[in-house]
Amino acid sequence: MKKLMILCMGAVLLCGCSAPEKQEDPDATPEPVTYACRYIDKYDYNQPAGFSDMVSDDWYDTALFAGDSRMGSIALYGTHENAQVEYVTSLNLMRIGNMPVDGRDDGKTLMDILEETDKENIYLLFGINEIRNPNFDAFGEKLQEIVDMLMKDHPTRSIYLILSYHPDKIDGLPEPRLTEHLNNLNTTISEIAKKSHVYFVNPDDGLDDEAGTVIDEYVWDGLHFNVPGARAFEEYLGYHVVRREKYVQEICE
Amino acid sequence: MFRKFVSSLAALVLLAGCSGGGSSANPTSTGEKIVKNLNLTEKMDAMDESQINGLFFFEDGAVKSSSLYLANDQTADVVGVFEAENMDSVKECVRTYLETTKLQNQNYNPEEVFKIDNAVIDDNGKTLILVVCDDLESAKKEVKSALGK
Repeated sequence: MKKLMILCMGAVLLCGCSAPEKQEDPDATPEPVTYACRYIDKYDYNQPAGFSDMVSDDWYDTALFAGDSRMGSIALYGTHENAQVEYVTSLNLMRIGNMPVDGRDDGKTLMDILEETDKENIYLLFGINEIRNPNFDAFGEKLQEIVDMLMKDHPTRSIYLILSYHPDKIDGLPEPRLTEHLNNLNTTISEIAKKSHVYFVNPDDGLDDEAGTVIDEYVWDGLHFNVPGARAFEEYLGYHVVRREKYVQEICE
Repeated sequence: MFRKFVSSLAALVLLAGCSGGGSSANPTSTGEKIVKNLNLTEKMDAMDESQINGLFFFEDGAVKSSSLYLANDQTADVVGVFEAENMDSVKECVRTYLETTKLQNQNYNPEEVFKIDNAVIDDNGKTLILVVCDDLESAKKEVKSALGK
């Protein structure tokens, strides 16, 4: 009796599992085929932004250039008035939320500006006031924090970390220590770019002389750009803009 | 028995009072008090621990606790209170900070160099206080008082 009951239950279960036969309606419109799409980013974040066509003037509507006094040369001598340029003289990155931005009377800090901005292309130039530091660990942590903050609600935004070009001299830091510190600083910056998938640009590629330091005619004190230097720097950046659409492809399967 | 206990306790208290250096001030309340007494509250911002380390580069374990206030303008004003575990190391880092700050300011804000050259740096063996501000005489008095001198 028990065996019979088990057999019956098995039969009922098997019947319940069989799929009902589908009646195909020849007049029905076929269901749209859905594809799983994803974005493939083929950009090599290990390399500095390469040379490309010069951007148009409109592009500067979307650009914010932020940094220390070196960025001040773009503010003073830059040719694109539609670009937003903000800088703090003598800025140490530890004080980005504490020192007021030059030339503003609202007391805003660079951190305030970066937190508020909706610009799509953001350039950051920091590190020369920390160049005498024994290490760049704290600098790196702070820069990473800023990059994370900028990317948080704007994942498609383009961020460019500008490596420190080699100045002719830095008081209190003779060669070869200057070169050693610059290498450490620029390694810290480029590592953050790689890790965070943001771009970095290396002005030493275009603005240096044979000695490997910034071209003498471009700087008035060995570090800060004069008019020709600022124009050359601006031009260098304009020729090294990454066209995201060239590298990011939507693949649907 | 009770007399012995009391005399031992008294000896312990006396020994504790005589241990090397002065009393260690609480860096947070001491820093706050100095900033307030020097009328710098409006122009100074408190820094957090990561900022302090990123500016002074203290060796691991050299500082027990600290507080730091920096000017929210272009001046070099600073009030720092550092409870030291290794006073020599702390002094060296403070000296390096001042040298670096001076090098930066002589290019951008040369008027700050005098203040930096005459920074008030004093300690009682346990706590080191650093002040850079306009009113150096008042700063000296405040620092001495905070260190219990």
